[in-house]
Amino acid sequence: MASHSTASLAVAHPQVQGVYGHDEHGHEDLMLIGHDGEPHPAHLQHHFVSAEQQFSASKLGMWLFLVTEILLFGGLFVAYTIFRAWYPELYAEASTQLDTVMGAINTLVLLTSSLTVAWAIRGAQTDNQKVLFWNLVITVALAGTFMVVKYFEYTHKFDLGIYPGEHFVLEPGTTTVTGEVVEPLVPAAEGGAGAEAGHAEAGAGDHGAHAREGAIFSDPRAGIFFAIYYVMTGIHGLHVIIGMVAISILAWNARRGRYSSVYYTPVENVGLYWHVVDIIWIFLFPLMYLI
Amino acid sequence: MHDDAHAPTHEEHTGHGAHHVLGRDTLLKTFGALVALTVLTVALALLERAGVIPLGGLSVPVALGIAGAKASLVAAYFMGLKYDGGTNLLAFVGGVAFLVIFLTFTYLDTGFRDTFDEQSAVPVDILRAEEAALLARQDSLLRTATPPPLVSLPDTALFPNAPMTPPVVTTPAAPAPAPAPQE
Repeated sequence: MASHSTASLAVAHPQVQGVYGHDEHGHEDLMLIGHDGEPHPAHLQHHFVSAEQQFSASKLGMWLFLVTEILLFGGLFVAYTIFRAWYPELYAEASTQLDTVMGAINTLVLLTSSLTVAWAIRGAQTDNQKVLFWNLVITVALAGTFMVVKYFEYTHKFDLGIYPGEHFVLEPGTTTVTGEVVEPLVPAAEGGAGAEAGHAEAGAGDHGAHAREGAIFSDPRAGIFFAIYYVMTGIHGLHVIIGMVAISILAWNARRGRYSSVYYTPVENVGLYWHVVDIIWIFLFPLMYLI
Repeated sequence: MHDDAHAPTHEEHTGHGAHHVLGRDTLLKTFGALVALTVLTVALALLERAGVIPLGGLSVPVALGIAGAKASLVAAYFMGLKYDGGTNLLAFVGGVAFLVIFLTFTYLDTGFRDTFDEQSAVPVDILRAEEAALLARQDSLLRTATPPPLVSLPDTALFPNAPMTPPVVTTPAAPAPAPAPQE
């Protein structure tokens, strides 16, 4: 179908306009007859006066959803703040266990993906299908990079026995609050012998012997910080994955020429979502890794 | 050519700029500022950790201030709030305002629990330690001490005719079969 070139026609002949917006640009295969008997563009639902009104309404709906997202993470930020106010030294000590370089790389990756998604919207608005498609593809790739870095961060911590909450593995020889003594780590090669040692030996692995520095490993409450860390970065990572799926669908549709300067509402709304994911990380990064 | 312009197909109808097209320069400048602020906050944190710049109590406000500036840049330019204004901005600012209320009032509760002569929240690990200590004490007492008999012998001055043998504790018998219904 040649119908997808309507947008460029509309740009080329902006003076050709109908009463209801962009309905008179000469491509009848995209037009639907509304209940008023007048032709409407296929993307314009007839309870809206104009494509403009439809766009604004949709965007406002997205903003309201994003507010609920901000409040979802807001609850977690409040938990972070309260526990930080209670155990300031614990947070200062625990944040040194996070890899600042990896966190900084991920910050730059997400900032770049925000740029590419904004550029994709610009591509749609200027009817540049290549710019639109490839920026969406790059955005998905950057999101994938973010998740790969996140995977390495998580698995490294699991290797060290850094688990959330009460599963946090303490330094060997530490007396826990319940009077048990944490058993030494058993190297992975002879893991069978130490199988009965319970979760204490879960940190056994190639990295088990190093990087467990600092007083937090003798603090029975250290798991509090890592519980908050895992939940906040985990839910954020879930949002990144959802965003990857959504942007992939956008790229698929963009490839088929579904979006143009006349209609690009899904690109705009998913873009807004992606920027919020970025903003959440902009706050998570210093709170977790830096201070 | 469309830098910082409105999409040509919409401007005539709307009279406002809901379809603001971000120019190349604006996009790149915003991105550059975001990267610069990221480098700045990381450098500050690393230098403070190395002891070069002791920010002390300022380190948290400075890091949060930089994060807030970055978030504002993303919201204003990438998300287009600077050009939308109106209802979208109201939704965003409203959401942030309610977050501030949430945080402030929760902190007013939890932040001052030790300030007044009221019962404070006791961390669960301290409660667990106390419980473990009590259980250990009970265990050691049970091992060393003989528990007193639950039923003592009757006082002979009061009950001279009472039998002088301890009462036999009988296990309850199996329940009797239900009586046959009377005629």
